[in-house]
Amino acid sequence: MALLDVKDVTQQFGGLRAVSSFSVALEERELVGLIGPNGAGKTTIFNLVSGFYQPTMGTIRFKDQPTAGLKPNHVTTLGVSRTFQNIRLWNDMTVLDNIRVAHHSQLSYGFFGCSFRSARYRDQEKDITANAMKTLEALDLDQYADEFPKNLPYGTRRKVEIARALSIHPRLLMLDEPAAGLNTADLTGLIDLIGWIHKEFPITIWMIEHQMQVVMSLCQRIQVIDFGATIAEGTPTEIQNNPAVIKAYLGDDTI
Amino acid sequence: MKNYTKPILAAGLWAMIAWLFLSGRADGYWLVALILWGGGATFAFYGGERAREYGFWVVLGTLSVGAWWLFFQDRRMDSDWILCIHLLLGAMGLVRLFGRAAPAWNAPFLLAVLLFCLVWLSYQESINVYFQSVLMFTGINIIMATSLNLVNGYMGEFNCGHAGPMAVGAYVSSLMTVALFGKSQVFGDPSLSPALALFGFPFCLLVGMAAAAFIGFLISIPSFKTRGDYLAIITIAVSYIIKSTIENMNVIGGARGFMGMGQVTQAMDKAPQVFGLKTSWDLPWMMIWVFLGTVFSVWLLRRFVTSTYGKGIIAICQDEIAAEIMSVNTNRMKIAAFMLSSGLAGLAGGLLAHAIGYVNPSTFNILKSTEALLMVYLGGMGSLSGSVIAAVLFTVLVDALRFIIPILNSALHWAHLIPSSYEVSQVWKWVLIPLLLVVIMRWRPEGLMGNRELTDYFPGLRDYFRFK
Repeated sequence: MALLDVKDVTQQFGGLRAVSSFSVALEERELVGLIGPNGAGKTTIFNLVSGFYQPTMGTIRFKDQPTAGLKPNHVTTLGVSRTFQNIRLWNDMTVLDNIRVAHHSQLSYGFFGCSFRSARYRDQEKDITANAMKTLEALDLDQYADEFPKNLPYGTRRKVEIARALSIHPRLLMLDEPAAGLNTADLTGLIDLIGWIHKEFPITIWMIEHQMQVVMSLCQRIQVIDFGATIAEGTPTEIQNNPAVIKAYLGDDTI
Repeated sequence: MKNYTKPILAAGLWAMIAWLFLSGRADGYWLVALILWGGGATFAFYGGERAREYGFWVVLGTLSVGAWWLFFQDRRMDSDWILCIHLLLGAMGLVRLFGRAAPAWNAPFLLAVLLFCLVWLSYQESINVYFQSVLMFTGINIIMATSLNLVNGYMGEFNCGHAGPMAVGAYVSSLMTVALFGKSQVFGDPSLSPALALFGFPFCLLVGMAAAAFIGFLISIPSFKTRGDYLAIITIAVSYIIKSTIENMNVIGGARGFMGMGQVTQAMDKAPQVFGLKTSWDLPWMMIWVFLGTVFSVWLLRRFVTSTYGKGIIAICQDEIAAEIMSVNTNRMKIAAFMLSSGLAGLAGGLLAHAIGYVNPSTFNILKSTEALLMVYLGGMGSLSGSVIAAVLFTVLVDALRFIIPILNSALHWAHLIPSSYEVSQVWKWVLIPLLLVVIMRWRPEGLMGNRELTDYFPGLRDYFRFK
């Protein structure tokens, strides 16, 4: 049984078919890449899996449970976590608060619990703070706990966003272009970080990436899509030499 | 700022002591006490680290004990004001000295002393009825501003119809108290003994809050999909629906308004009758209720926005998509925010209706909502202490203009700047106050506090209140 099983998913925006009959099966502890030219529908696929869009057709099953009709926060509770192409941290909240708020769906104390500071409130706040600090320490970010993300350098913000996604112990971590906008030094750091996370945590990583250096050095297998449809699938070496992929990226040399 | 605080405070203290001495108001014990106090303060301001830490407050603490002792000895005070200032400063000294033992009790203790001082001064008529009403409006405005700040500041939505739920809270609680404890044309004789008014009143306020929170729930439903300007229009529409509904309900007075709450607040004095006592508790009850309501609102909002649960709405404000995908149930949080905000608006409405003793739908027009917005933007979005300060400033300013405008009028006439046939009337208040908003938006668009709390600017204040 695959951890994430996406079958024949189609997403239609009015007349535009952003994703057509897309299928993928991710096994436990895999590290899979999703690449394709701009506008191929990669982020749409992530949005479908995280429950932000509801697919027009097809089924998405996570841990053998269909996610159709679930709200994004519910899907996150099941164990799907993600980062965004353009960093989406809460900029006027400290780094620690950013990570604590990511635990929002685990809170069960509710309005009256927080008004009366019930025992459950105290326990849960203590737990999530401890967990958040543990994640920050693991990613060597604990010195930024009280900083505001807007004051941090770009590469660190990326890392904080990954920490936020990781802190809720997801089974599937989706990284949407983690290397976008990073310089060469940050890039090697990121490759090491993702490799380390994959080794250290019992987690499946699925990532969209344009930087071939990242994809080729990390991914066990790669899926290439263009115009919402899969055009190739295979190991990094296979993909590099696949004529369909070269055509999608560089165009046809026949006129 | 910091460099001038000490000299100003010390000079102020010595000026006050000199004035008290020269005017013959302070003699005997009080003179010695005041000089000790001023000396201690000066010593603490300019002394070393340890002196700063303890000297000042040891002096104040002993003074406070003295003041309390004299008070319970029923000795004649020179002035109720001096007593109250002593009590307040003494309480601050006690908190400074012993507060670390139980930090959670610092704020309640200080607030209790403040309430006692307010009640005492009102009871002794050291503050007159007009000033009492200004104090009550201040409290009501604080509730109004802080509760609106939850939606407009913390959640980043734009609610322009805060007067709507206020009207609902005002009418529901007023109808209930009058039906239960008052005599009226609508409900006839009271259905319960008026002596119970004191105990029934908070319950009626709660019902008014619940009704207002229900209106908040209704507003929150369109907010799932609508935001920004469109939601603002919806909130205005809701407040107009409420206003016109009340205007057209002739049973409860329609546009003429509804009255009879005055007898309910007066009946609160009769509370001892419930225990079979002949005495009457002749206290400024509405002042006490407004004070408690204000503290309750700020307390509740503070606890809400400092919990991770409540921070969900700050996440919605800063990035709704990230909030939604990173596990915040945005719809539920919007319901919670709107219900809490509107419920507290209902509390403000209920208190306002009972403070004036009369309620009229035209009180809750767009101007009322604008006042609330003004206070939120004056204080700073996402800052509770900012809203509190802005509400105090605003109320004081509105009432100060009552005196300033006639002075301005005569000054302008004296300088022949305006034709003698024209009088600058109180209407100009509504030019000057919006003008203030224009000035703020131009030079300090983030408001007085701007998304930060008072304790962020003055960390020393954390010794006195830290209600988390």
